[in-house]
Amino acid sequence: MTGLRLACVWVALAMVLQGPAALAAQFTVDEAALNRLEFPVPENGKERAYLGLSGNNTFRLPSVRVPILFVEIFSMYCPICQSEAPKINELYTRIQKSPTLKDKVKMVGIGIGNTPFEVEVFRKKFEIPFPLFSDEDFSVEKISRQRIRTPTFLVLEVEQGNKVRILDALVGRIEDIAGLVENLEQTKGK
Amino acid sequence: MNRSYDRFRLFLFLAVAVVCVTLSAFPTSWAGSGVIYDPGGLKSIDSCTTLKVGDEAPDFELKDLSGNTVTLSSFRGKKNVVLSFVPAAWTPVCSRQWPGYNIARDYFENHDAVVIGISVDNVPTLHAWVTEMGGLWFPVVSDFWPHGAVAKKYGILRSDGTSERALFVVDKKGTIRYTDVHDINKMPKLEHLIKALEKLDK
Repeated sequence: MTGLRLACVWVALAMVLQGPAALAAQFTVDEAALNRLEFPVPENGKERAYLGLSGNNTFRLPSVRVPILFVEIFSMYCPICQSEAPKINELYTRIQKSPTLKDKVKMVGIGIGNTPFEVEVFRKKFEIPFPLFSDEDFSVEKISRQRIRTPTFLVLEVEQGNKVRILDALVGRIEDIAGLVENLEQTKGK
Repeated sequence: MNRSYDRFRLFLFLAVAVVCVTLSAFPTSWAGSGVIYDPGGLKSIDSCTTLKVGDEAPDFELKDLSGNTVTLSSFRGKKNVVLSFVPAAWTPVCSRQWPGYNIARDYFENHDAVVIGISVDNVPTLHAWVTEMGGLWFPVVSDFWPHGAVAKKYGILRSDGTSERALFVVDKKGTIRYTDVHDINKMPKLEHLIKALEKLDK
């Protein structure tokens, strides 16, 4: 029954977040491709500790030591990503301040098509407090047959060291950060 | 009875899960909401500029979105200038390129440079487009009439009347120090432009 409850929570969240235009939209994610994505382990020790990563090579998303991973797919060139950045920072702050979410949910950003330099411009401009990764080769595009719009947000359940499972995909502005936080609090990760 | 209930629960769960993933995706960003016209893949470069590094940058006078005249030669002795030609308003790559330069203002100003955005679109179109971007810190000028005259001077007017996606860095003496007539379908990497500006400091 847990799965059903979890699904219902995210249906409710989807209703909070989406407008009527949502009914026309479809966005499906290939979980196998999502699990194959690879990123360099951050050089920054604070970021490595935040994600529970070690070593100097690459990592895949299931290696992140956390039950729920919140992923923002963004571009420094995307005006919506820019205007949403303060709100996403607020989400990070709320998660970090919440005793129930602090160790349950971690956030990362993936700069689709962005070089490390461009990701750094975005990080500096908006003082992004969570780890950002460059995806210069557009490898994130492999996770869906639909074109990836920015920003896209993925809520992933992490089965530690094994795989991530998608709980939800949200495209566009997040209208209700408080509602999102509430739903994250109710979500049970593995 | 238990088995059929389990099947019903499984069906319900799968149905709800599918709805979750497919229906919660909503294209609210203007870049994905149908406002942007996607012309599809285009011939990467459709002109042949003769301008090269070391040449004097052709001067021009064009109106910006406030009706002011922007003259390239007015920056001589004062500022380095990045001329950013984009092919057309309301198209995918162009609609992101200038918002990218917008948040990189410090990087340009650190090298005493201004950006001038140039498009062959008319002023009302550019006004609507730039407003939708949320505004820009640098001037955007219209090369609409005589149509694409400045783009033609720079040798980057395409056969369909749009310009190439092109960057020219002009130093304080009015000399071209960097050119990038880029594949129209792709975004030029910001660091290449910033590195070109760094070289001006040396």
